[in-house]
Amino acid sequence: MVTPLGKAIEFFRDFGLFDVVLPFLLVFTIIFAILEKTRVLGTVKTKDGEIPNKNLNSMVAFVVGLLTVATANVVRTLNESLPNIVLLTVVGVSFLIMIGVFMKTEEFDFKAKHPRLYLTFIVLMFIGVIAIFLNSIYDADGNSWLEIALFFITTEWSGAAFTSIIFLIVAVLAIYWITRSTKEKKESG
Amino acid sequence: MAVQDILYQLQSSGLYEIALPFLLVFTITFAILEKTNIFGQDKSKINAVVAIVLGLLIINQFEIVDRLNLFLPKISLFIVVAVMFLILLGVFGARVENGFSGVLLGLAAVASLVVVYWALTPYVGLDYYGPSWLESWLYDNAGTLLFLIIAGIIIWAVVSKPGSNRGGGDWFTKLGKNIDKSFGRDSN
Repeated sequence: MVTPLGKAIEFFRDFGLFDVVLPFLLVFTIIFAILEKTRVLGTVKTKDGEIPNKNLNSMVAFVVGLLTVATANVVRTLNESLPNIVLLTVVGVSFLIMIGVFMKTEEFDFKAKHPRLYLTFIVLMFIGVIAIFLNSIYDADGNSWLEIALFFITTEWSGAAFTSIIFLIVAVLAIYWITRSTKEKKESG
Repeated sequence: MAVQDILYQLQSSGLYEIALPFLLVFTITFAILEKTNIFGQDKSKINAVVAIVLGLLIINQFEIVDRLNLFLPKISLFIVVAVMFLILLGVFGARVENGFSGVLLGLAAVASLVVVYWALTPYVGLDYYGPSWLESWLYDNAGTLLFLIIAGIIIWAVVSKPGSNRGGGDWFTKLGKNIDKSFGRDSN
């Protein structure tokens, strides 16, 4: 069933809103905002003090935005990955709402009150974001990088390379755990 | 006009597939950007543009919108069940307004994670473990995984010292204290 709003979306898709306009707008805005924030390209002195050089910032952001939309692979990756990232955000917010049911009435400061859980979710979200982007980047044969990585893991699970990586990770974690415990004892003693 | 007719008209106009997902994504993204100040302070215009772009990008992906439309009602169902559970606890005298803490909150977090997983799966039941390679891998290595989990729990319980915050030796004691605290009893 094609709805009136659905028809509008189809019109915008044919117009190129999702392939050209929105990726350009997103890249332009983000680059401009970061340049304004970091003042990489210098500042201009005015009566009110030093302000970011808006002309240069906007020109650089404009060029980067246009270059981005001219690269079809990057636009495809953006169009595929960003909705999934947003879904991840909605999932995260939903989880916090669910946890909030069991907590008392106050501002939810996850970081201060539950640092370990906070760190766990940071790691989970990081893995999620990496997986989403890897799933949106393709090689020449049309396989995503995530598929290639998973294929490598599943086929080389008991191979020398994968075992060495796991051994390395375990060794590093063990060294970190032991040295951290010793340090804490010294501090408490 | 009956309420059902109004809902049907709203549905046939694309409210659920386009307008509501856009509104949700825009609001959440804008709120997070405003809260975190990623692009600096007082950058509401930039935050609004990024939120609008993300909102529009998501409504172009019908699969994501479908998943979102399936996900949120399930989450709402869990929240209603959780509130009913808290009401029942309140009937028996629990101080629900203080909220859960410690082990009880951990259990609530685990339950919430399970619900998130259930809500994200395309099927109604809990019979979906993940992609086919993961299912086959789990099937092949279930024994090893179970052994590792049990060994981990035993080590966790043995390593802890009585009275310390680390390890799991005091797990059941802590659980009891938290339940007592929730019901307004001083366990000391």
